Amino acid sequence: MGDIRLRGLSKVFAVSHEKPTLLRELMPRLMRSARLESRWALRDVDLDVAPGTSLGIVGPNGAGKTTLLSLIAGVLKPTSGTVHVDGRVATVLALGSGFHPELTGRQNVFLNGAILGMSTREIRRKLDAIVAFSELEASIDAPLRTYSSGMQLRLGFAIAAHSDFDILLLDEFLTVGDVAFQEKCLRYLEAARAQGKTLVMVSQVSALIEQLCDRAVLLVEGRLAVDASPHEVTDLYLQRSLDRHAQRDDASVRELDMMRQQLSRRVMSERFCGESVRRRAGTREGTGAIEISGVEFLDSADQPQSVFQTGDRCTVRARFIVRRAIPQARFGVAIFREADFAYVYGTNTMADGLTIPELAVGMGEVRLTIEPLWLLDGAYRVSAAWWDAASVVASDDPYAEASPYDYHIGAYAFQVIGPPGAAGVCYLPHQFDAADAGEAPSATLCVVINTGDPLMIGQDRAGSSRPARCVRIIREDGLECFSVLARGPVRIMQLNLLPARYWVCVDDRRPQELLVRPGRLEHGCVSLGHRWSLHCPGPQEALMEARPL
Amino acid sequence: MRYLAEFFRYRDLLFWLTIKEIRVRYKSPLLGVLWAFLVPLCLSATLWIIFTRIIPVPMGKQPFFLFVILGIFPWNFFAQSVSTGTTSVLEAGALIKKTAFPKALIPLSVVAANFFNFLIALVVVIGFVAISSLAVSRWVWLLPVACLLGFVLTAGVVFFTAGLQVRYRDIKYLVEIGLLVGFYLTPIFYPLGLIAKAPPLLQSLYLLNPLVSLVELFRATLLGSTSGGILGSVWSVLGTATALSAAVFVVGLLVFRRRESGFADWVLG
Repeated sequence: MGDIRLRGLSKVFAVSHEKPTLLRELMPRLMRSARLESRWALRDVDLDVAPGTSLGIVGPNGAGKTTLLSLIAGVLKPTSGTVHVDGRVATVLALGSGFHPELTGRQNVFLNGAILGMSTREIRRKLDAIVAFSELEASIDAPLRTYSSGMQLRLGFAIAAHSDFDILLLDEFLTVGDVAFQEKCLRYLEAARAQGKTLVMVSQVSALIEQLCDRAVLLVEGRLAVDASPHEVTDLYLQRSLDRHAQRDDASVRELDMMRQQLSRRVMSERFCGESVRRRAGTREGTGAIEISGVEFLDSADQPQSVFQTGDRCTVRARFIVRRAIPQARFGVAIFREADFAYVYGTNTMADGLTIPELAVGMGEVRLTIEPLWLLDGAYRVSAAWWDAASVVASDDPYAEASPYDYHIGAYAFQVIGPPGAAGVCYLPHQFDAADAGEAPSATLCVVINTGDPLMIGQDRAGSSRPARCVRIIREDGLECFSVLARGPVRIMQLNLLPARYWVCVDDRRPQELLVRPGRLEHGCVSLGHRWSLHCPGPQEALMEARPL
Repeated sequence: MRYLAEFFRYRDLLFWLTIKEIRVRYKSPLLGVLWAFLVPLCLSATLWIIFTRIIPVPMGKQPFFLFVILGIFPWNFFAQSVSTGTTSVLEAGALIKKTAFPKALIPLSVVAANFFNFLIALVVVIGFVAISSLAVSRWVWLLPVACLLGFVLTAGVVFFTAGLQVRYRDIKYLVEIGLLVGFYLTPIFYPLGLIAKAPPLLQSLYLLNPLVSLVELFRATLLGSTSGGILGSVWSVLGTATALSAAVFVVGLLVFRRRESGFADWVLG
């Protein structure tokens, strides 16, 4: 019970542009024969689903996912090939189908249950459980038209969940409904899986497929393209849809939009931090349990220095005094550009995964060595602070300010002399490259990469017919991150920009969108290679941690 | 036969689909029964006033208006079922595309919902017959059979038209014409005996209309006699009605079954 065997399955739909009528069929010449086009929804699909398997079907819109489900459900008849399904099939109905708006929720349970093959007696027995699962006790006797779409989905899911099925088919089932109910559905599906039921689900939500399925297939234009583990398939699907006409595909557009929103929020927070530091620059806050007694910038020879060159090594050394024992603390440094207090870079021991041991009363020294210092021409302000780590752990918001022991706001300064021909906040190691680069993303409007990935900029679609002159990378909020005068395409070896939405402008051409994926804990706009070293009073004398980019 | 067994397996679904049809028509259940009574009551009362007070039609010992309402209610049941049933499958798109069950249940539920109304109308008719203080017909035991035949015949026609409508969207216009013509080709406002003077060929063609024998059967069961001896005794009326209804049902069902597998490809929604 519960296995599915599909052999050479094909389905052709006749696509008619006009209403089919008897008159047209009888007198094709008179009516100018209807243009009947056929569309292959599925082509030669072979698929075996063993009992107890949870299979995810992914693919772009129109790939034949729903057709495949309908064929398994027996709703559609295949054009060729065979469908063998063993056991009772239940479908979580798409929103609205199988429900009637004028009937009450209770009557719809009976109607929908009967459609799923349940007897009236069986439904009556399970009615309380169904209503309880859907959490619609209060409105079960109201007409369905008064229900929100989320309520309808809850009812539909509850009915399907209570029918005796061997195989459950789910088509984009968690698109509505609140988080709590989604959790409930997920728990239910996990339980059904554990009971050895066969699940087949179509979803655009990769996380769902990865969480619930033990196998997934990718459908592309009606063919089974990939049959592998859920993770591999969803990765491949995402990559594929991003690579190819990302902007045309609904699902990846939605995914991109979500990423854009997330990135926008991050940039807003960055700006807010910068503004707040500008207002309070030069002041000092904190309980004083740990006191920062002095901050200095050291060059590669460990000599105090206030002017650096782009690419130098720069060590921020902070000496401190511990006035009483501190169980949990973290030390952080933030760099702002003096001109506009743009948040350039910020990191702390906790974000870098470094746990500072309990601090005993005494004196210590913490060093943050940044190398290379990929900042461009300008004056920079630095904040340094000891925070109570416990108060940070409790908060979800990475920008929430914890209670400081000692917070020196924008109190220290250094200068950077940058190379000629480059402007902006940060320097991105690059080279001018005339040779064609395979990874040139010229065909897409939106490029999504990770911090530290290479990027090719300024290559024309038809080769480099017109060499680029000025390449600029501008953050969504207008912050000019990096500009360079170029003689041709620019190959950036490491795009050290932190997660945000950027625009890549080449001369006066249409800007290209660049999304740097979220997932970095550092603050600011550029990621700087750095390492920590700590001499602190306490049982452990010294502690070192390197963090290469 | 196996197909009919499927109906039985899904009887609960048929029941709930029928309930749905009835509920949708009358928003509240109490008002629904009231309306179902009110409509035939008004129609009967109107016909009663017309044919007894305004234009009294002489017709033996039976009141003419009883004769008419016994023709008009079976006809209305048939006509309403056919006109709503024809588009029922096409309009049940979402259901057909998402779920697997015998699709014949959809038109069948429409017929059943109309049948429910017809039964209520029949109660009204029986009431009028009782008021008219006619002797109870000795054929009255055939009434359930007549109702069953009416259901079978209507279902057969609806299967046929609904099955074709999915693929050919102009069927419903043909159905409208057919119902219009059928009304005059059925002895509702005139006694069947009047066709006696027509040429034999036309007469037999006329009698092929299954509604003729069905209406005659209803009249025989409640009024005790057939109008005119064209179809002979009540037994032969019953035989004709049964044969024609069964034939229509089988043909309709076969046509529907042949088309059923393609419904999901063609329906709306």
